[in-house]
Formats: sequence, structure tokens, C-alpha cells
Amino acid sequence: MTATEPPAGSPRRYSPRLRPLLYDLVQGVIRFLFLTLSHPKTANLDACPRQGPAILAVNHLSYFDGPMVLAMLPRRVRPMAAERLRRHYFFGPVMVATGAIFIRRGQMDRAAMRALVEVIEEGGCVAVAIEGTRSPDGKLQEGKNGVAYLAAKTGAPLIPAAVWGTEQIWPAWKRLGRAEVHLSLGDPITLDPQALDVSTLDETTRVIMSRIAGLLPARYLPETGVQE
Amino acid sequence: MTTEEILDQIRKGLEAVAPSRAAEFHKVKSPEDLDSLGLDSITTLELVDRLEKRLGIAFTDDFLMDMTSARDLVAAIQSQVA
Repeated sequence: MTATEPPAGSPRRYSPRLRPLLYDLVQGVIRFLFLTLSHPKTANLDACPRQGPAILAVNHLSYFDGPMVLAMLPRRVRPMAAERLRRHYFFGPVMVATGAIFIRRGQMDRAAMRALVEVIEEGGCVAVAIEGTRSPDGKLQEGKNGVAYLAAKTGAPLIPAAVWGTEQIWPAWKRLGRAEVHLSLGDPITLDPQALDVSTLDETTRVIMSRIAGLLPARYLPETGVQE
Repeated sequence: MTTEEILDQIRKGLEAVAPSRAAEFHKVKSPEDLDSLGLDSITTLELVDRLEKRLGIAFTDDFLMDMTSARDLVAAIQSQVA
């Protein structure tokens, strides 16, 4: 492979086109499952504009976080998901049907970032796990700069979103119970699209993490606190 | 374009992306020094975008995905600019 010529016949891994009917069907089924198999609670969902570009910066505790956001948000939202999730027997088809943009973690996946920017610039809403991966200990992790980068590139409003209780869904089902799950949104932050240097991205990421921390119950916060 | 000239372009690009680390970038004398900076993927992505615009070159997404070291980047630039 060379640096300038794309390999012949390489599959297109990203599909910025959303199939609205399929999305709405899957969203309806997922919402029904959440309403019947858990106790969902939401707060401040109006912080997310019903139309126009938006970026949801979400903490990540469980595989159920993405479906929870899809089920409860009052608009279509495109999740960013790890490439390996595409092959998951349940979440893979859900992610594909809802137009997920798959990204290869640990690599410079410019095509995925471009696809996210394209969705936002076309007036779509994307949901991105700001910590980059699921929390290994249930506590809020350090944020990555990818979300701030998307906001600086597009000027789209950035909405802090906290999800919790989703890590209790499986344990509750095993006891034939229903977990209480939460989605709470913070007020939007808008960046100057010109402000694209690492210091500004670091600062924006700190602000978003601080806002998410403010939405989460104390038991989900690291003992060392969240840097502001 | 020599390796030193390419490193100079990379240093300038990095200083624009992360001005607060300019002193570190000034110390870069080889591609291996760049690797030791521990740049994250967003910084590298923005650097690559700026290098493409500044030098009038283009990298494929697959090349960037598979790039493992700064030496790969320097070699790719060398192959594209006279």
C-alpha cells in the first residue's frame, strides 16, 4: 500500500446515510424494551435541540449506554461505536441499523472523523463516548479530546450527557428485576470554530467532564475528583 | 525535500496545533524524537491536515490508519514532494 493510492476494492466502512424508517423501527423496539425491562428516568432532554447539528458527549459504563441514548432522546442520533462492536451478536445489528459510525480505537481513523463531521454539518446529531471506552471500575474516567475536536471543527453545540444505572441492567435481569436507568443532559456549550489548538481542546474537554461529573451521582466519580 | 526540511515543516505544524508545547517541538531532531513526544491521535490528525494543505500533498486514510511511526510519515512526504 502507498500513502497516496487507496487499495483497490477496499470496502467503504462508513455510511453517513441514515435509513430513517429502519432507524425509527429499531428505536421504537429498543425504547419498548427499555420501558418494559427497566425503569428509565430522564432529565433536561430539552437541552438537546430537536433539529440541527448537535454533539452529545456521553460517559460510558455499559454496552447499554448507546441504546439508552437512542431510546430516550427525542430525535435521531448517530452513535460513534468501536469497530469491534460491529461483530457483537446483539449490539452490532442495533448499531448498524441506527447508522452508527464505527471507529478503530488506537489508530488515526480519519475516515471515521470525517464521517462524523459530515453528519454534523448536514444537521445531524452524534453521540460520542468522551472517555473513549467503557469505564473499567464504574467511575468517570479521563476525557479524550475527540469530542472537543468535533465541536471546534463544526461549531455545533456540545451537550454533556450522563448515563448511569445501565451497568445494573444485566444483574437486575438475572434476578428477574428491573434496574433504574438514567439519562441526564447538561446545558449546551458552543465553541469558536477557529479555536482549534490542543490547549483549547484540553480546556473544553475539562469543562465537559466537569459538567458530566455534576450530573452523575457521587458514587460514579473518581475519589481523586474531576479536574476543573 | 530533505529529512531536515520535512522535520522543520512538521515542527511548524505542531507549533500551530499545540503552541503550549513549542519548546518540546524545537528539540525534535529526528523522526524518533517525534515518536517520543507521545502525540495523541487528534493532534496527529490535525498536524496531517495542516501538512497536506501547506505542502499540497494528500495521504490516504488507510495509510494514516496503518502508520506506526513518524518515520513512515516522513517517508510518505518525501515520496510526494520533489
